[in-house]
Order: sequence, then C-alpha cells, then structure tokens
Amino acid sequence: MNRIKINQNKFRYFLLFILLVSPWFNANYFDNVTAVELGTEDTSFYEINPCKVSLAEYINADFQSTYKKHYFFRYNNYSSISCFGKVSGIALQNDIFNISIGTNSFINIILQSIFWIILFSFIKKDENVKFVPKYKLISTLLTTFLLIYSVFSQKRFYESQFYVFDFEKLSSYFFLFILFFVIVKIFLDVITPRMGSMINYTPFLFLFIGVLSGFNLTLFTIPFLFLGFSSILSFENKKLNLIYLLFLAFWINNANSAFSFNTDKLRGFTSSSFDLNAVIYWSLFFILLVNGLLTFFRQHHVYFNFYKFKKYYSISAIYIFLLGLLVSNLPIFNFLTYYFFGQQKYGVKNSNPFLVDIFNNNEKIPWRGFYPSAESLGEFYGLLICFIVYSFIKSNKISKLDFISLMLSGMGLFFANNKTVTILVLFIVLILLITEFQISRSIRFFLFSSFLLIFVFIVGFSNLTYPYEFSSATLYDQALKYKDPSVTSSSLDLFINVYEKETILFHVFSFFGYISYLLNRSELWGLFIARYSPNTNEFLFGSSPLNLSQHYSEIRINEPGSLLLPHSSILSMFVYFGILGLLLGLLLYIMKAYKWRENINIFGLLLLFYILINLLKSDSINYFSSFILYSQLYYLVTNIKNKDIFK
Amino acid sequence: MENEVIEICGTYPEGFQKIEISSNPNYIFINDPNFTPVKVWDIDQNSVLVNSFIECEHYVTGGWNYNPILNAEAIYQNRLSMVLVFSFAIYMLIKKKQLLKNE
Repeated sequence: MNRIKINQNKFRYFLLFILLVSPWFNANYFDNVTAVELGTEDTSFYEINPCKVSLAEYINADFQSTYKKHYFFRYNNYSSISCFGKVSGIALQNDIFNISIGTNSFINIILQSIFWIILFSFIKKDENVKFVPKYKLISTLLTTFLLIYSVFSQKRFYESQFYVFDFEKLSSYFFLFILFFVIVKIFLDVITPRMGSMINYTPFLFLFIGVLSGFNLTLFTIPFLFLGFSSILSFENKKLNLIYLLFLAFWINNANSAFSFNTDKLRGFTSSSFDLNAVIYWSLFFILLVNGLLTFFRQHHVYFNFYKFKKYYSISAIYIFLLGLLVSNLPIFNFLTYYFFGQQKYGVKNSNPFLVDIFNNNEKIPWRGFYPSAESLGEFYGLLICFIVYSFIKSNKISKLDFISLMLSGMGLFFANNKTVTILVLFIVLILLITEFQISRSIRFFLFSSFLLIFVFIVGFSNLTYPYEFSSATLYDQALKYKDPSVTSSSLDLFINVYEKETILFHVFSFFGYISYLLNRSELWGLFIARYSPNTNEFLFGSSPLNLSQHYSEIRINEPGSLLLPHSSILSMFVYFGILGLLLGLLLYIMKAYKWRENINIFGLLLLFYILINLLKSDSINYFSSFILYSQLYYLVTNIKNKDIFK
Repeated sequence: MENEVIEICGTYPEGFQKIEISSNPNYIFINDPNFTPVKVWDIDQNSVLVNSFIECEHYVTGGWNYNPILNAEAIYQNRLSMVLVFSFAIYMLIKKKQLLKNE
C-alpha cells in the first residue's frame, strides 16, 4: 500500500515537473530559425520571426536575460495556441527589454488548473469527514454554467484575452462548456474528500493565489460556488438570501449604464465592467460564495487545528517572503511565479526593500515583493506574529519553524511599511502580556509607556501636534484637490455644502476627516469622495458587490496617474451595498460577537478588533485570500468556544 | 453571409446595390481609392487582393471567405476539445474502476 502511495507521489511530482517545464519548449526544432542573443539595441530578429523561437531556445541563446534586471518577461495571452511558449515579440523601451511570451487563455486554464489540482491531490484525504454535498451533479452543472456566464457577461475584458472566440456564436460557448465542465468536475472530485483539511490550509491562498492567466476568475472560488449552489438548492440561509434578493432587485433596476474597469491587482475577484449582465453575474457570484463559505465553515470547523493552521501559515509566510526576494531579483522567476502561483500582478521589480522616498521626509516606500498588495501582505504577516506570540505565551515553547517565520514576518511587515498593523500587533502583544501574566503595576506602567512612545514614533510626533481644525480638514482639502472643474460628484457636493454652511453634519465629517488623517488616508479617502456620486438608490442599496467599475468611471477627476483603491473595505462595502447594507453588515458583525461574548476569550476579541480596524483602513475585502482568511477567523471566533480553537 | 462580408470587407457603403456580376463575364472591377485593399482566401488557400467593396463582397459571397489564421485556430480549438473529452472519458473510467475496486 505504502509503495503504491510512493509511486503515486512520484508520478505526481513527475507530472508537476512536466507541466512546469514542457510548455516553454514548444517550437519547431526542424526549421532553420535559430534563436539569437539580443543586441544592445537590436530586436529585429524577433520582430521578423514572431512565434518561431521557444522560450527555452531563447534562454539558451541569451541566458543573461534570466538574471539581468533590464529584461522583463511578460505573458501575451492574446496569442494563438500554436504560439504558446514562444517569443511573440520583443520591445525595447528606455533600455529595458520587454520580452513577450505567447500564451493562450484556453491553454492557460488547462495547464494552471491541472497544476493546482495535482498540488491539492498531495493533501491526504479526510477519512472521518461524512459531509456529502447535496445536489452534486446539478450544482456541478450550475457552477459550469455560471463560469460560462462570467465570460459572456464580461465580453469587453475577454475580447482582449481570447485570441479567437466568437462571442455571438453558441458553438463557442459549447467549447467553453467542455473546458469548464472538465475542470470543475475533476477539481471537485479531488477537493471534496479533502475539504475537512482545507480549513487549515487557508493561509496558502496568499501563496497560491489561483488567478487564471487570461481570465477574471480565481480557480479556488469554484468549490465555494459549488457549495453555494448546493446550499441554496437545499434552502439553507433563507433569511440572508431573501434580504439579498431585495438588494439584487435594486441593483438590476439600477444597472442601466455601462462602464468598464481595469481590474489590475484585483483581477479574479472584481468585475471588469458595469452593465446588466456583469451586475447579475457578480451578484450571483457573491451570494453563492457567501453561502458556500457558510456551508464550508459549518461542516468543517470541527477540523480546525490551531497547531496545523499556524504551521501552514508559517510555511506560507516564509515562502512568500523568499519568493518576494527572488522575483524582484530574477526576471525569469518573476515571469514563472506569475503563472504557477496565479498572481493577479507580476512581482515587484524593485529589488531593494529598504528604499525610502527622499522627497517625502525619507518615508519608507512599501515593498510588496511577491504579493499584489503591500498593505494586505503586512496584515498577513501581522496576524502571523500575533498567532506565534499567543502560542508562545500559552505554551512557553517556540518551534524552529515558528521562530524563522516570526523573524521573516517581522521583516516582511517592516518592508510592507504597514504602520497600522505594526501598532495593532504591538497593542495585541501588550494586552496579551498584561492579561496572561501576573505583572506588577510598575512593569505595566513601563509597558504602556513604551507602547505610547512607539505609537508616537510610528505616527510621527509632529503629526499629533497639529490642531484638530487643520487635521480634520485635510480630507476635505484632498477631495477638492482631485475634483475636476467640469464635474462634481454628489458626495463632494454634500461635503462642500456641509463645510460651507457648517451644518450638524460638519462635526461628523470633521471627525471622519481626523480619523483619515491619523490613519494616513486623507488623500485616498479624499479621492473616494471626489469620485463617489451615488443617486438615492445607490446610496441606500449600493451598486452591486465586487463592482468598482461605475465608481471609477462615472465621474471624471484629476487622475492621480495610477489605480488607487479606496483603501477601506468599509468604503468598498459602501459602494457595493449602500448605507443600508453597510450598517446591516456592521450590525451583524457586532451582534454576532456580542451574542457569543461569553465564549470569546481575550485573544478572540483582539482578533476581531484587528480585523475591524483593517477593514476600516485597507482594501482586504477585495482580495480573495484576505476575504477568506478574515471570514474564517471571524466565523471561528464567533461560533466556537475560543478556548477550544486556540489550543 | 452578410455578417461575414462586414467582418472581412467592412460595413456596406450607403446605398449599396448588388450588381449581378456572375452573368457578365466581361465585367471589370474598378479600384476604389477610398477602400483599403483586403486579401481574401478560398478553401485551397489561394489568395487574391481586392480593391473595392463590390469586388470584396463578390469574392466573399462566392466562397472566398476563408481566413487561414482563424481557421487554424478553430482547428486547434476543436482538437483541444477532443483531447479534453477523451481525457475526461479515461478519467471517468479509471474513477469508476477504482470505485468498484474499493467496493
């Protein structure tokens, strides 16, 4: 039996190796075209011979491109199947070679899915899990149809990703059906018997992000969509679904204009357009995901094992840290990790994580390394530090793995320059020390004073000395700065009115402005106000989940030059669900925790606080990995006796 | 067919009237300076450069609507579908066999 298992594993490793290497060898080795080294300014050979030389041949001829920093390999999904893995063009810009490698979205989805499914198959099957999803076949088919609809509803995005695909022909969708059905079915077959263990593997979602190249889709959402269908068909979560239906009616009624959105680092978990079909698809996607997650947590929370979870978290953190250094230094790794880890965005080009901005008081520049967002990465590291410290306090022991990951997470957090998380981590450690140990008053005083000193140092002493009137007005000033003279958003209109007439709302907005100032969010939230222009319905019910297209396209502003997200999940939720949805969500968040208060220990409470503060000042909800991790932690803290979870 | 003409030759000019060319062996196509020449192919991959919308429409409706690039890709996609279906069938067979074995 063991021998069969070893052979199976060997075969899997062999397959992984083949999948990693073979695509880049695709070429006609019997023609007369031989790869050449790139000249200083000569790219003519590759302009004359596009799709003739494989990546492997090219690297063989010009090996320095794999490690020299003025080379960048980039995927070109809009290539024919025959061009897959070949050099489709090279462009020289400002002494930087951009080497375009032909890939094809349909081949990508097969290769990447098989690669990740094989990785999943290494996880041992759960023998004790008795949960069998209901309506398996129907849910599988419905999941497949939903994925096809995702393509249909975002034609504009896919037109630039599919080389040849007639969006108007039914037969094209039949091809998609075969593709999606095979992947969905095999993926579900592999993951269903392992679902119990999966609850401990969620930190790996930060490493294997799972976004398919050429698609606005994350492969790892499939099991949740499937469970979502199964749950809805079984009439579970009726109240939630009914309220959601009411919101859906408003969103559909409101979707009478069309906008598009460059998904950038949110690809796979945000809509690329705003129109009726996109609104319907992303609304369905979101409610199915929520239903699926609830079923997943309900059925499998008993398999949560803090020790395993922390172990996998540490492993992920170490790999993410090391990969960050690797991808920023070696162009070929930057290229390959994007594909095989399913990144939304290429790893950072800047290889110096210590860089500071000399034009801004030597402020440290956030360094995101491998992950698409420095801020979310900081949260990821911060949470791990809290887990390790808590575990150390409780057990008085620290494993080698934990120690290494603690060190690297500390460095990672410094590189990411997430000051709020740094303060939160220190605060959590301080509270844990005080509550878990018998500490004398003098030591307590010392600890609190030290924390306050560090807090002042991180926030900046000078920032705390400005008068309230000045600090609270920065948000308003920033919003005005980004306003285009020709058009004003309805929210900025309101702000102008309130600030000019100093109505009762003035004090509320001022306080909000002061918070934004303290959190260093004045500019980003100011941008949000300059953009956000809801009508009454949108203000009350939002414009549909995971859709920022309207928000980013409706109102012209003085563009800051790059995509700057609202940097607040609360503001994102405000756009998605309106004031009613936001208040309802926050109420549920607090009520659920309040009802469960007797079973929540100090660490659970601190975790809820950590999540809430980060929801206030970061875009975490817009990243699938963070969304799942925070949902899971929230569910565990508010549904299981905390002393049992964090054993 | 109309869609195919639009796809290859561009939109129909305003007031376009189809002329019966096939019955007139002496018909000579006149170059249209405002028309960007288009290369069209037949099924045997013979190609011809057309210089006016009338000429283009005539060829495309006459079967010169073959696009070698699109066609090659369509063939690849068909093969890909077949490989997928075949692999899936094998996968299902192995799975079934394993299930029977476990029982």
